Amino acid sequence: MKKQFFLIGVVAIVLVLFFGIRQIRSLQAKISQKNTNLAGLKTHLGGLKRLTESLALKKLKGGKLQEVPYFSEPQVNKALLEKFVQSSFSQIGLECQVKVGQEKVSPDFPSLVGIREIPLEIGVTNYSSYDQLIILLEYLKEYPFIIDLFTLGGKDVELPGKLKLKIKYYLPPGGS
Amino acid sequence: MILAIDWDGEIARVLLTEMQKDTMKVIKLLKLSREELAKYLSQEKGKLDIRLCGGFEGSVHKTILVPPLKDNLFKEAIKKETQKILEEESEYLYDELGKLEDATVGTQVRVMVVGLGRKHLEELGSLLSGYKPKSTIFTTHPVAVRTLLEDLGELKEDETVAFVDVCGIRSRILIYKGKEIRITRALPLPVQEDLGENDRLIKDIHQTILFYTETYPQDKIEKIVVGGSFKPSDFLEALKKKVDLKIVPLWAEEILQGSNEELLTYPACMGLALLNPKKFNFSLEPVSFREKRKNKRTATILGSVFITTLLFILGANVKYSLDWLRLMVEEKAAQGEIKKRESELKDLSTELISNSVETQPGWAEFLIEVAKVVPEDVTLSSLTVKKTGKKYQGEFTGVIEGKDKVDSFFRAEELRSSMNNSKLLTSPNLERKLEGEVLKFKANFGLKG
Repeated sequence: MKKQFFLIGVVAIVLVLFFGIRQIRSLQAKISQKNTNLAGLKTHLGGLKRLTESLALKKLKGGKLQEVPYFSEPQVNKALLEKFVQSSFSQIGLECQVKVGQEKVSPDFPSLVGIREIPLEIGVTNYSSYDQLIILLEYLKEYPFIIDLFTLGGKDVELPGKLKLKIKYYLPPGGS
Repeated sequence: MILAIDWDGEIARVLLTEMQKDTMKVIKLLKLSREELAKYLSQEKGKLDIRLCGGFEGSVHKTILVPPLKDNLFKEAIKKETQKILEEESEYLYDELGKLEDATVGTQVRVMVVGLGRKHLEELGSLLSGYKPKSTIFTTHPVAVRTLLEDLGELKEDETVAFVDVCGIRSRILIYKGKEIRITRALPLPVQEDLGENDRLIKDIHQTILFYTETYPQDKIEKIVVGGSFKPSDFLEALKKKVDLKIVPLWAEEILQGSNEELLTYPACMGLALLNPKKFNFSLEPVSFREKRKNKRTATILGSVFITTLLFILGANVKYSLDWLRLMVEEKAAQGEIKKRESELKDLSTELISNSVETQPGWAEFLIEVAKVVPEDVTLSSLTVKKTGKKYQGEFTGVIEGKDKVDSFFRAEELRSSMNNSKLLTSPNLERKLEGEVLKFKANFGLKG
């Protein structure tokens, strides 16, 4: 009787310890995970704060990028953007083939902001000098273009030409 | 309140007392059967200090000599000696009476062992069945009477005293030598009406005195203390004449003012009531009581450990749960703040795009840097810069045609060295492959900043 009673007591203590410690460990793991998430969120928030502050300052200073005219009809816009790129390149003396992709919400910005992007692939068929390339890249920076890839002699873009580019055109929410 | 019980196997003499400023106040004197005692205890509401003593049967009082040894050996020696004198399974206790110098054996310790058979102890314990006392003391009848005699001043150290308890068919004679209990004997003969020297009870007492004198020839009995309620003067005179010893009759009125002679038929109960539990060495305990106490202690320890463990686990859980809740709140707050900031970005979307465009590498500077780091005699086959995540990674491929193989390797090292020193390009991972005199290479690099 005494032994049974003692055994029951010990088993009860062991069970409480086992399940209790398991519960504590599970909570500790959750807390650790939450701390990591929170640290990431805080870093993100810090970056956002600095960004919003610097953007607000930029807004005060003025000075916007130039924009390509934009309409509500996507097919028209595609043609317009293709035309714009070809004419811009031709101003620098470059002939090119342009492939315009589908407009979509840009993953480069928070989805809440609603910035969209149109991907473009460009193959320059008559590239002749390094200077032309420099001028072209600097020219693109005057518009809401971002260069994802440029290559001289590479095979990353399936278009003819030695100089090839993958760029994105950003559209602010509500169109330009 | 103290309830002293003297159980003779059939009748329990019960004395309910209360100590008031070191004076015993008698509340009740009862003679109860087992059933009556159980009924009496069941009606008792308050918790009592209960002290019990048993009859002579199964009890052993013996003085043994043990050499002075270290604690454990001493106990072991007493155990061995005690086993020789105990006839049945008993609980026993001992008390050191002093040292004895012996010319042949050397110094010996006199130890008085008091033992009581386990079944007799259990019988005593069973008298309390169903009742939970405040405390209990179990001892033997002679030990209880010794306490009374000591308290009355009738038993002094090294004095030999006989105590005769005459009370009908349960008369007893006990002989003490100081603290030592030497003779315990029941006198089964009833008191005769016609008392005289030839009375059988008086003869019996005399025979016991003679037996003692023969057993301890060097010792002399100082007096006979006569207790009990039966003390007619002719009995006392006849006894004195027969044994030729000082006779000291006890009178209840002298012991306790206002009490009647019946009190003297409870000598063991009085002794039990008077004993000081802190100084009392012969408190025996029935095995069942000890087991119960052990079980209770085990249950208390286990219960305490269980509760402590439970509290610890609960405490830790509460702490971590609160931490978890705090982090949840902080996370929600951070998410809210992020959403707020992101919605602010809506109004700054043009600036956001502009910022993104402006934070691209300075392409002109980059291309000029490439022209600088690539030596003139190195021919580039391709130059690619690709955005990977948030960073730009670049790759050159080309050929080096030196004067010979060694020169080509030198040129490749020059390319690596100039890229290492570049302010815009990170150190390259340069792969080289010699094909004839021509060294083909591939350099992967990153853009700084």
